[in-house]
Amino acid sequence: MTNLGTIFRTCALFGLFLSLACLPKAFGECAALDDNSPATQLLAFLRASADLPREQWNVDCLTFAIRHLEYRKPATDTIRVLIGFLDFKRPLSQAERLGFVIHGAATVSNLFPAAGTLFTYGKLALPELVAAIENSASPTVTQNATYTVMEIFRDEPATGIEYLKHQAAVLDRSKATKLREAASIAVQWCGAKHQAECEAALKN
Amino acid sequence: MCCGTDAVWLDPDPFSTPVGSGGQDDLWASNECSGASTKVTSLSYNWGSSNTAVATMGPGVGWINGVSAGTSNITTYVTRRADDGTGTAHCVNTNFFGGGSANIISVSITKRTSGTTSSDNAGASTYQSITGTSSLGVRTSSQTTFKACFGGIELVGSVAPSAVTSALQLRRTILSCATYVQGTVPISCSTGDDTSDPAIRDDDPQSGTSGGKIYDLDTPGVKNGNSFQSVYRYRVNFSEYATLPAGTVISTAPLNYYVRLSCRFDASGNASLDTSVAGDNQIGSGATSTTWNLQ
Repeated sequence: MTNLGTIFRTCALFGLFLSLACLPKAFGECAALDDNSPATQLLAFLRASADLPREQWNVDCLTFAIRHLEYRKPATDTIRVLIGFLDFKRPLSQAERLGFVIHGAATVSNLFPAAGTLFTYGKLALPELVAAIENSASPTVTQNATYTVMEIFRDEPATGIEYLKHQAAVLDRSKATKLREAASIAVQWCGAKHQAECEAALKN
Repeated sequence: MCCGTDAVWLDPDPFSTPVGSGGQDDLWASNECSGASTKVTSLSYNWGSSNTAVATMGPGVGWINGVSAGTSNITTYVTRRADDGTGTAHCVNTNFFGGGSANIISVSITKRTSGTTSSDNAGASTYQSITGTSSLGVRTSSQTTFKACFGGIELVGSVAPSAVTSALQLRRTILSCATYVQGTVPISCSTGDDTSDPAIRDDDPQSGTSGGKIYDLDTPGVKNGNSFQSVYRYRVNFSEYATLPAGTVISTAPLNYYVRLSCRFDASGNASLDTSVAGDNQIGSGATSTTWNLQ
């Protein structure tokens, strides 16, 4: 009995060790994230998460890491990593699912945090956002990239429409179509104050 | 050719720190031949502040202390020597001066809950798109996607010195909260960070004609309730504060405020404020009871 018990305990411990050793790398990195985490650590977590199947994503940690990259010196690879999360939607709390507006106004970038963080990088993010509109097969990525472009031009949204049209004009036909479509849907984010200017920019 | 320093600069520039705090600014140098940049703070001399009523230096090399709100010019230099034998062939003794500015920042926060959103608030159009109005205060919305009772709040951060151009953020924490459905049944409500997303903030102190103001907007409430003729109640205590993007707090004091409201939806999903609890449907300074009946 004693030997069997020892063997059982050894196997149980070995199993526990194996299961811990096999945990995804991002799991351990998430636990180390806090308000003082440097951008490199936040990015490393995002990269490790991107390599995992979505069902293994720690959605709370992803939201934390993405939001904490706001205004952090945006190297091109930072922007590319965030573009990869443009279709990541943060989970709603129980109260939000019941209708309570409890974690900020219901904007696109509230629900899709990468859009908000890319917005804080300003015009530096535009080339990668345009590339996402051109190349992504995901309608959510296309829509959120377009939204982010318009947020970057939020002080002069008609210029955002003109920017998308200009980018379309320098591309081959198939990609230009996607950018022209983006310019059309972008008008919804012009706001009442600039609606007429945006529609005029779209027609010109 | 001289393979030595050919330029120096301060990083960060402008340097920013709150009143009563301090931080490290560094001197960097580039090499004319390799193009490489190196931190040379430890080789630098005579760090100085042009306005010691605003910023003082030390005790460490490159350490800047914030004394009072304002801007001061920071100077230092590094010497490239011709005779140090470390790849500076053909160089002559030269001092390279680095200069930059230090902004010692403070932000005082106020809240607006009446009138309309400020015209220089770049987040105002997002607020209007969501709620269908630019009006602030406890109200209802009949927007198709936002049939709601909500408290429209604009937080204003007045920045000193007002000429600061770098991004600053207003952040928000939920100190305590409670949500109820069917009038009295509590459901979970999580506290902690509740910072608005950037689209509904205005972090640029110079956007529009701001001249030293940053903004945050929030719309706490209940939208598109699906339990008709049932009352939803929301009681929440917030704390608003200002930070540098890296998280350093720069507000002179946090602003604590509360929102309490109750909302009823009819069979068409239209929202109306429920007034069955005395003192309900308010935004105020300080804190509120989070019980359903405010007792």
